[in-house]
Amino acid sequence: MMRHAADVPAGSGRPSPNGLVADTSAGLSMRGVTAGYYSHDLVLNNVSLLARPGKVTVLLGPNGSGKSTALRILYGLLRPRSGQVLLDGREITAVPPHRRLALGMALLPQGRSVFPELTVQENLEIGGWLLMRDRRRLSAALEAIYARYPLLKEWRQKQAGSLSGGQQRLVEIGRMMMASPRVILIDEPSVGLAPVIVDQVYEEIARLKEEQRTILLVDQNVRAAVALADYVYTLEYGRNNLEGERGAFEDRLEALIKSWLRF
Amino acid sequence: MSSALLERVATGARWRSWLYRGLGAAAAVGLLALLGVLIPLDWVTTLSSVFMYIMLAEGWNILGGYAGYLNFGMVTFFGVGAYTAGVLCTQYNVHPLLTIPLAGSVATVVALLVGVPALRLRGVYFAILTLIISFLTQVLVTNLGITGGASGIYMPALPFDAFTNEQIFYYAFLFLMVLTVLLAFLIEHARFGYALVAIREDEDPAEILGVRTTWLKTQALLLGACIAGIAGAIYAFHTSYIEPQGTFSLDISIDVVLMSLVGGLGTWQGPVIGVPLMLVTAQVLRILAGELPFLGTALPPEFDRVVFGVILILVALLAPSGVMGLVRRVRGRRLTV
Repeated sequence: MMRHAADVPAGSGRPSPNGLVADTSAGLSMRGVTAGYYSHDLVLNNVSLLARPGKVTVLLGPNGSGKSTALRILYGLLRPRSGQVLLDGREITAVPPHRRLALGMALLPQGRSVFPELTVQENLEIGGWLLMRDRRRLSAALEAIYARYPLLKEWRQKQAGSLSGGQQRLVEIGRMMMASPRVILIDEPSVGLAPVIVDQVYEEIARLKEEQRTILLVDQNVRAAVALADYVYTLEYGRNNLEGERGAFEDRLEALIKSWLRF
Repeated sequence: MSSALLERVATGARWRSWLYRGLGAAAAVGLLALLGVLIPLDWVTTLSSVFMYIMLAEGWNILGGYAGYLNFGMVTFFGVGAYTAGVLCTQYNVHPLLTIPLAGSVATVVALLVGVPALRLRGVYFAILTLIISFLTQVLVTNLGITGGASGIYMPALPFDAFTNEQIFYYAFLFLMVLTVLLAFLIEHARFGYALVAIREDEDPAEILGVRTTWLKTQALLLGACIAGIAGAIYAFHTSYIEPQGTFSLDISIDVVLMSLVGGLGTWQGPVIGVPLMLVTAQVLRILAGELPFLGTALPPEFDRVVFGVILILVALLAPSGVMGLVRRVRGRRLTV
């Protein structure tokens, strides 16, 4: 069923500020978040989202609708002016990014983010920063990543900057998985990659989904993202717009995209 | 062939190459130690100065080279170290040897006070703030009573003849330089070093991955400041007279940056190459120029700056990543072909 943010459902459950029912005691959520970068503009206006545990939640919207800002808020890179971020019912709005890994969260940032002058292995070791004081657990984590992505083992002595864009993406994914996060935020995973590589990236996200990890995916590649989604949110002008299960969205995709292209 | 065997062969080769490198380094240090008794006085002084600048440049390199935070105020910590030694020794009768670790500690505390606010800034804002703080310290030291103001502090002299004195400082600087270079080498090959490089290359993903970037940068600054403080204390005893204009001179900060740049930023070898390249070249040219009849004997002290400028221009044209960048490029070519 697809709902509009304006339809306030009458029924049981705790209503979120914009009126939608959401049980925020599990998964990652934001409630009534208002945020912006300068005093005179609002990028997010009273937005509420919930990434359900073990599901893929996709956040869609036209350019400038506030998708990436929502991710920044969820990971603590930006503080909201009002509203809360909750992880499994616990408020984490003010927890700084470097402490979120310990809570089981991880963020795969948009664009290239490998450290080009470090080798692949050194990149991975930084991903295991939390295990810094425990050499044995670090090397176990490293071995697990090499077992999971055998290509990385082949490249481990190479400088990350000498790899192709797709290969660097794999390093970034491997680096993120060093901490084996439960909740994964992914920002535009396919930007700037060759179509063949894009398919591999979505296959990897599908694998993370099979492993019951909670995933929040922000994407412009609407068709691929919705194919993976369990639940979809759309933003428009920094407000909650439509939301619903995947089935409700699949047949309306074209109309939705067309409506975004109008402006 | 099994991969385990391959791995063992590779490990053996790596051990051997480490052994050779260790022996090479030990031989170089042994040679320098021997030079201390063989060469004439003016060269002992020049080399002492080279060792001191290598200490400063290695200390600067931890934050400036690996993490890419340009600190133009390294002289602050150097000067604080020198003045700590001076004040404690002349006014509180602390034993000179004890003032050296104390100088390192005081410089570290100053770095903490400076670093906590400064390291919240990035890029050029950080660089400007370090510059301001170094001027601020200079003004403060010039106007405080305890530091002797503009007239400075006369340090107690060692009870030996001039040559023995120089040799003592030569070996002191040599010893501390070896320790500093060793520290830089260890940092470069530890995860602390990787994390600093990660901060230089892209600070946000590093933070996303759980690296406490601000704390790491602070640690890098503190380490460098401690080294500079210790170097400053020994410098104070070496020159036997310290005053604010010379001890807190902007030239020292700039030279440390230039020498690291010429050698190659973010490599432990960079300062080891860059410092002697610039200081020894300046010294040799000064001797040569002194012998030329038309230049006369009275070369102005600004002569060094001309030489440094020429070297910097040459490096910028021919080896933009410093001498080490050149070495790495050649080595990379040999490995890939």
